[in-house]
Amino acid sequence: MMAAPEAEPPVAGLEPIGPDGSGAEQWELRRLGRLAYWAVIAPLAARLPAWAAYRVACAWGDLTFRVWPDRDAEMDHLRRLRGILGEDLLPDDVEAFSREFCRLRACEVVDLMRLHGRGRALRPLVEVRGREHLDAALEAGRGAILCSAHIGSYLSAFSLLHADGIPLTNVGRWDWNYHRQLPTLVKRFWDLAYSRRVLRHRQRPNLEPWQGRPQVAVQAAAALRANEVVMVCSDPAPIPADRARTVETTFLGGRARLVPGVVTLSEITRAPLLMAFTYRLPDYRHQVLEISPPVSLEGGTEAAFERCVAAMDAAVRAHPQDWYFWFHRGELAGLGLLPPSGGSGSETD
Amino acid sequence: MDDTVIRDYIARELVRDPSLLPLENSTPLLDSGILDSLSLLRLVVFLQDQFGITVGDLDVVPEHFATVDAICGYLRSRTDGSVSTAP
Repeated sequence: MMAAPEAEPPVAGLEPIGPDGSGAEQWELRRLGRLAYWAVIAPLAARLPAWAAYRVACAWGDLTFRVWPDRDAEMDHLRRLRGILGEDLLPDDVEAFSREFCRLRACEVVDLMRLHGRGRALRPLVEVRGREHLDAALEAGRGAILCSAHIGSYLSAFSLLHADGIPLTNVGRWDWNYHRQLPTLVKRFWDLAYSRRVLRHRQRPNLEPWQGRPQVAVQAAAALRANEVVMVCSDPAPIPADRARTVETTFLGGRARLVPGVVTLSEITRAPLLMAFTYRLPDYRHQVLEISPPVSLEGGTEAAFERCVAAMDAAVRAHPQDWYFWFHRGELAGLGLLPPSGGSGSETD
Repeated sequence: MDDTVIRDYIARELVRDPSLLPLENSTPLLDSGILDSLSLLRLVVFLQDQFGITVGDLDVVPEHFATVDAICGYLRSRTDGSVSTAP
């Protein structure tokens, strides 16, 4: 799922429109900068040598940080989060943290642009660790589920797996598809700039869980039956239709409500469930995609899901700037990590 | 009767809110929230085991799973009418 509620940073990140409709209302001049980055600057930068391409991305991230209209309020928001989520999660220097956040989001757009030509320009920059776990899982013939989170350039990294011959399909919402008030032109832009590039490296169309689309799990099971890989991010706030089947679990120091769908899917299909996270190295060019051995399903759905959440928690703590949701108040509230302030970030309709 | 088998399975395994019981053949399964994406997958696995059919993912559309009656209608179309419902 892509998400970017009301207080999104003005980076040209991979989250073009907020699920609460804010993106549609705020389609204004400052978004022209984002448009320019996606449509012109990043595609051109991506054709440069990697050291230059990611230098351009970082410069763009710095620029967007400097012109961030609500920057002071966002710094205050981060300071409050330190109090809510725990002192060890966020550094004292929230300004440096936020600047880094902006840089990473800008780098992720360049990653996406470097996927052209079967990912040749990106492949040398991403080290895949634990690929043997995925290969071993697929040898059993029941497919494999990769449980991830909105950490780092995960969609582009998974695209490389597909380019390397692993048939991979996403389960996740692209929220701009569900905004009734969003102009068609804007939707078409994101389809062209974003969806098209991702789907080129997917086995099947995106499986988007949403009200009125109950067939998604059956479609995912069909992919697994064909010995393919299904990737699901388990860290977004649940949509209203899913709230009844969330479980309360410890995540980032708070009690969050998350959907244990990956575990249930694994239990029903008997496809092994592996964790996979992407993070960027300090030179901004190189990344690591780490794939874990299969998660044990012992102890039932909730116990197994606790293990998944613990892995997500550890991944965010190890690379906090790589997590998308720090500035997404609606998403944080929907997870139960912030007090509710007028609805979950996942409510689009 | 096969509709009883299906209704009992849904009531026993998939209904989380007891106020929705007892189920009728016409109870809306999707609109009431009894069936979501994953519980629908459980039901499909059950139907495949119970009736020896393969439910293709293209067959999993709301109109085939909206009620127990709709499920029976879909199964009849897949099993030459051998799935029966109570009169």
